[in-house]
Amino acid sequence: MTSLTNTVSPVQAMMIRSSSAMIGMVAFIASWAMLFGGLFFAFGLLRLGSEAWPPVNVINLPIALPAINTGILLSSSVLLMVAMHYLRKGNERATVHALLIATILGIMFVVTQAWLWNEMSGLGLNLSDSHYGGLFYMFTVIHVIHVVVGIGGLLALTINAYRGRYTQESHLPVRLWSMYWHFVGVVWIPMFVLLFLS
Amino acid sequence: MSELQPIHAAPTSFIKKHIFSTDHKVIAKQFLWAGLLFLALGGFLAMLIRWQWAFPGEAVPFVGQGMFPSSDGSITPSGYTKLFTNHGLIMIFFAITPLLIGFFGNLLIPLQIGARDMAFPRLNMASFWVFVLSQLLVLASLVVPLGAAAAGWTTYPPLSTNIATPGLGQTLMVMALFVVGISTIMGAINYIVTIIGFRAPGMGYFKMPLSIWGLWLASILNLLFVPVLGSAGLLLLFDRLFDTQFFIAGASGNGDPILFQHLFWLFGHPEVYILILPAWGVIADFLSFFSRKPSYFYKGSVWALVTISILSALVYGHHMFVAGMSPMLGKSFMLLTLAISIPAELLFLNWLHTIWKGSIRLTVPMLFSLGFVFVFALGGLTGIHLGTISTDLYLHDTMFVVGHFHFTLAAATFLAVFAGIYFWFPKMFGRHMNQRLGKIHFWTSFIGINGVFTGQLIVGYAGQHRRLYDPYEYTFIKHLQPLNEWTTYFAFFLGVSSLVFVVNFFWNVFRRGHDENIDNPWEVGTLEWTVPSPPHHHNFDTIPTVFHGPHEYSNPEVKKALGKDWLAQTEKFSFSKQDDS
Ligand code: HEM
Ligand SMILES: [Cu+2]
Repeated sequence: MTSLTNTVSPVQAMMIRSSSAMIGMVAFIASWAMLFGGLFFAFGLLRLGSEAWPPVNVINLPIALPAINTGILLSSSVLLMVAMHYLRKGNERATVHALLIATILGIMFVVTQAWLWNEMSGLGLNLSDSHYGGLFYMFTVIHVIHVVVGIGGLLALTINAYRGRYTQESHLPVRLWSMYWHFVGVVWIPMFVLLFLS
Repeated sequence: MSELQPIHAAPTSFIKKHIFSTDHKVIAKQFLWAGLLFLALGGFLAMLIRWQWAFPGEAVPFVGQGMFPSSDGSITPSGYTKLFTNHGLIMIFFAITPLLIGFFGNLLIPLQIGARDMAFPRLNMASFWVFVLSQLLVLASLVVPLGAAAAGWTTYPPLSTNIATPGLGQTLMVMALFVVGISTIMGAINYIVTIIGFRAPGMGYFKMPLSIWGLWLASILNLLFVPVLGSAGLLLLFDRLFDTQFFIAGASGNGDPILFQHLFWLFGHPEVYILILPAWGVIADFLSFFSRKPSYFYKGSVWALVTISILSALVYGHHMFVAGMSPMLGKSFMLLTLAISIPAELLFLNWLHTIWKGSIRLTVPMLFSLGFVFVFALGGLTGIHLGTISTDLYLHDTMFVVGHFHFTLAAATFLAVFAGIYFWFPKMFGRHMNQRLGKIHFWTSFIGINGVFTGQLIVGYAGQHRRLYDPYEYTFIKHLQPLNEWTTYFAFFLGVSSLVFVVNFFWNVFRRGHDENIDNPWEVGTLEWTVPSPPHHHNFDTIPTVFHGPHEYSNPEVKKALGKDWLAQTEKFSFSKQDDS
């Protein structure tokens, strides 16, 4: 991006403003990725220091339900791309529908996750008996906090899209929240692999 | 045509103008006040620590009875532990960080690159109020039951887990660190984006003042490494609040305390550069301004800053040489650590070259800058002894380390902060500070600083470990008591000399009137000095166009044509020979 003159055409002004916001979002995501980077590093060291994984005498985590949930989160991301596609084409109704479904899928992810916590703690997997349990709850709780924030964003997008606030040319919030939401999905994948498959 | 940075009317209500303001200049002052307040608090704790090392077990005069009633006014072992823990944390995260990053960053970035405000002014305001929240958490942590944080500023487990510090204070302090991290990241995003997107026309990256380079690189490091501290903090909070054992080893768990050290220093080493980069930048600019010479090999300095920033991410292991590291890994970290001295050397030589044969103006900011160069040299040289494994095996965890990082981190940043305050005071408040008092403040601080921190280096070299409650319980360092006592006198001298600054600062902030010759008293050419002091709400009536770099001094052609030895960055001037700096 070149440095700016103060008087520019409206289109240019919008482009500079939106690229600032996008750079800001990229920076935020980089920062956030480093937070998870630190946590993954911790996972690696703790896992290497454990003799058996999962440890003996500890309830094992299931695979099927988290796998389905992964599917839910990723389809939510896909729906957001679909919404973007319709938005660019100017199809407002389809945009609202796609956003709504993406939001509902996000909520389903959280509900399933809560159900899994409930199930596992009922079976006796807790935070304090092993790293296996501790890491599971720690990662999923921190991740869900980010998901909940994202759901708030998607909800706001859906309402604003319904009110016709976004046009083919001007829909910066949709792009920003899409970046956020895709990242929520992207960090979930290594988490899923490490927590449930390894 | 439309305005990219429209002029908004200045707010009129007191609250919007001075409290919940989105104006970067006001936010800068807020960070200045908040930082100075905690600097005083941290300094007060330092005086108590020094008292203990000079007169262990004796009642502290004036404040002892109030602070340590159970022991009749003398510092208790657990009280002592809390003192040095909170001194370190308060100074680093709640005093130096807001002053160097929050204050300098907010004041300088828009003004020196020619912008009307930050890219995201409301995020900027939020970053300050989140910072205030973190300071409140710190204050709360000092007064809760079972006492304040006591695990050292490095917060190593198992000391920082419930096993050794069960108090709420330690928990609140870890939370405060997490919250101050959020504030820092909000600021960093803003600074990075503003510098990328809001430079005035003509303000190429290589025309930016070195202050801006330093702040920009520090912001990038903040953005990437503060979250790593955040991850360590979260894991620690899980251990403290939810009984996980990520860091607890032994009978009560199979966790890994060393894991914390990795995460801490992965953040911690970049952090020390985060704090020194803005200081380097500011000082490099001042050396050029007051030598009336262009900054020597400007581009080389920039690349040195960039290289150091990158390398700083790769050397953290030098804090863990004695933590059971494989010799192979240890040597790699040693090599990378010592490699940093190459760009650091370049930077340093550039400073010396800049002042060499300059027409030096010994103003107050220049005195502080020269002092900075001196103490930073000592700090850097002692770093080499610590970065070399064979010598660090002996020096690790001695007062030598404490001396090293006080020369680099405390002395150098302290001098840079005050250089900046004296320099930009006229711009911020529209009044001059008293230069004679400023000079007294410089000389007393300089003597105090060197006395205190040299004392630390010497006793450390003689074998005194850091963090000892009563060093003289050990016969082999008993004879160091007089030396420590002298060091303490220097510290008290330093503490008292700060009052000179306090008087000068408060008097000139609050007295009435507007001084003469205030718009550009130092005769320098960076953009903030092309607007009135204090600047209008929107900084620039029209966004300036930049023609030159920030260090155009003593050019004979300019002197001949304009009769002055400097050129503003916005002054159009065609040199006969094309300059390409
Ligand atoms: C010439 C470059 C430098 C080198 C080679 C160097 C090397 C080291 C080493 C090896 C240690 C660990 C010593 C030990 O614990 O045994 C250390 C500690 C430290 N250094 Fe440096 N350093 C350098 C510059 C700096 C700078 C510029 C700063 C800050 C502005 C700084 C701040 C610190 C701090 C805060 C600690 C210790 C913290 C603690 O253990 O509590 N250093 N340094
Ligand atoms: Cu280091």
